[in-house]
Amino acid sequence: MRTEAPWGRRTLLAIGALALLCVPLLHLSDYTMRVATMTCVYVVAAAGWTLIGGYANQITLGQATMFGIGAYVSTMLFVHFHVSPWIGGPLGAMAAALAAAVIGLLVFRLWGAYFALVTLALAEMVRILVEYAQPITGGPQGISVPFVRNSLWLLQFPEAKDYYEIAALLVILALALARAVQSSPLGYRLRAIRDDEVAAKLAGINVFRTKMIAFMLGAVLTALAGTLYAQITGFVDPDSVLSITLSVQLALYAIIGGAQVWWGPLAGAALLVPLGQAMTGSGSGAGAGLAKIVYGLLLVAIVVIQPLGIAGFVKSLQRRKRAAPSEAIAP
Amino acid sequence: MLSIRELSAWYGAVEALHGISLDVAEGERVALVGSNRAGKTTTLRAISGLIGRRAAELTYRGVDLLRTNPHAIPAHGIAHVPEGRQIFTGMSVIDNLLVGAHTHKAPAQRRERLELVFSLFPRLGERPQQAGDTLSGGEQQMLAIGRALMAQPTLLLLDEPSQGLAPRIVDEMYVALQRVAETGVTILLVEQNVSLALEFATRAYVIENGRISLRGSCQELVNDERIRASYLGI
Repeated sequence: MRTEAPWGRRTLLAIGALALLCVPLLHLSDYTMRVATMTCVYVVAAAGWTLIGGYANQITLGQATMFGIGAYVSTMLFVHFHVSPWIGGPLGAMAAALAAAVIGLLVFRLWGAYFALVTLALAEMVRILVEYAQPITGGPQGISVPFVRNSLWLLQFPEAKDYYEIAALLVILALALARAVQSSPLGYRLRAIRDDEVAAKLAGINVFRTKMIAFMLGAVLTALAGTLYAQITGFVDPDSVLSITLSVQLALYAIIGGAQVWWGPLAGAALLVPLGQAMTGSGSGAGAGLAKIVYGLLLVAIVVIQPLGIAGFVKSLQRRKRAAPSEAIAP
Repeated sequence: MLSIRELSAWYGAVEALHGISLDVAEGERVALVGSNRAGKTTTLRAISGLIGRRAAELTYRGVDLLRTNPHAIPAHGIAHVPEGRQIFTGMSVIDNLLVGAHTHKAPAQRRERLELVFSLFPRLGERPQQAGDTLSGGEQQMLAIGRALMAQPTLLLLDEPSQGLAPRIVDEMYVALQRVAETGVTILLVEQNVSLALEFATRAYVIENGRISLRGSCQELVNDERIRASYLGI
């Protein structure tokens, strides 16, 4: 057992959470705060992916479906029935969990590339369905969320940066959940499945149910991020919340950050969202294409050099630090 | 007791077992021997429900295994140690063992099982925090058996425990298995090393091309001309 005082680690986490909430005190530019807010949204969404994709290594390429359901359900309830996103968000999360249950039923018997491809295909089907259901979803043009007034109850603020505190709180909640799962019996079962599904089954683990619980929990997190996204941008369309690109991005954030640890999505999104933003902002549109190339290169680099992502680098650094004294003695 | 009547099993469209029957009584040590690809591993996988199977009867202590979900089978006292030491490589020794005990809710019970496993395999007790993939082959096999024992099984299905291990380690492991058997655990052992299996077990079945070709006490089989010629090389 590593003999670290547990309160020391907990204090560190509390300080980290507090620091996250205190970022606005730095008086950064509006632009920086907008990017920080969006980063928070994607941290939460990617954390939802990690529960199933990282912990159990079930690489789903359809997590955008959950994001989209969260965004669309709360937005449609708001636009058509004037339901507050504080109610619409949780309803969207429940709808996403239900969708996860149905998708899980279809795909959990598959493994590896088959699993990834079928989740991708199902996500595309959802996108196409939403595009066809124009009367209620707005179709390919999407729906805009009308700005009613500056109100916490309606989760509407004049500026994207005004959402920062709520987004940061959601990050703290999501990562706390991801961390709790990691060290819980559910986390053990997921790791066992990741390492060897047959052995897990022989150890008496209900593989199907374990995957299902993680997938549904993850769907809830990603859907909540979707709701927040819709409120911040004031606009929802299939391209931004249901696309393959988003599904791949969410997986990438988690994988590049380190898919097997709870803080991986934080590290990955905190690196990649601002990076993507910076590249899209520069070079008159060419940057947007460049961002995808850089994502691709980063992914290749991660897979080749350090499959465990940023978390893997940190771990090997820690190991090197511990090994350092003996290295100093060696000639 | 485990009773199997007319068990057939498939890999996709290929029938790999053609209606085998065998029994294992409580507390017995039974070996299933045969050459490569004869159907030994398949038989164990069929018992555990890891492949498609059909049988006139497949019961353990009155429980119909054909109607039991694979993940629920360990709860009925059957522990399967698969071929090729399938341990959780990303986990430490102790975590591997705890996954094996995850059906037990009581911590005291888990601690008791851990002590038993460590007393059987002192090598594991010496390195509880070591990662699974850094263990030697023999230690991995011991860990796989230890993990199975954590669930407090009454029937242990062992698939090629000696495979790829140094003779000294094999001896060490079989001494431990002997002790496991002495605690009253029933053992169905699959081994390619026929002389080893016949020495350990009291009764054996010989399987050839998915059919049981011969059965008897190990003493009889050791002296059987066909066995001596085909499997013992004497």
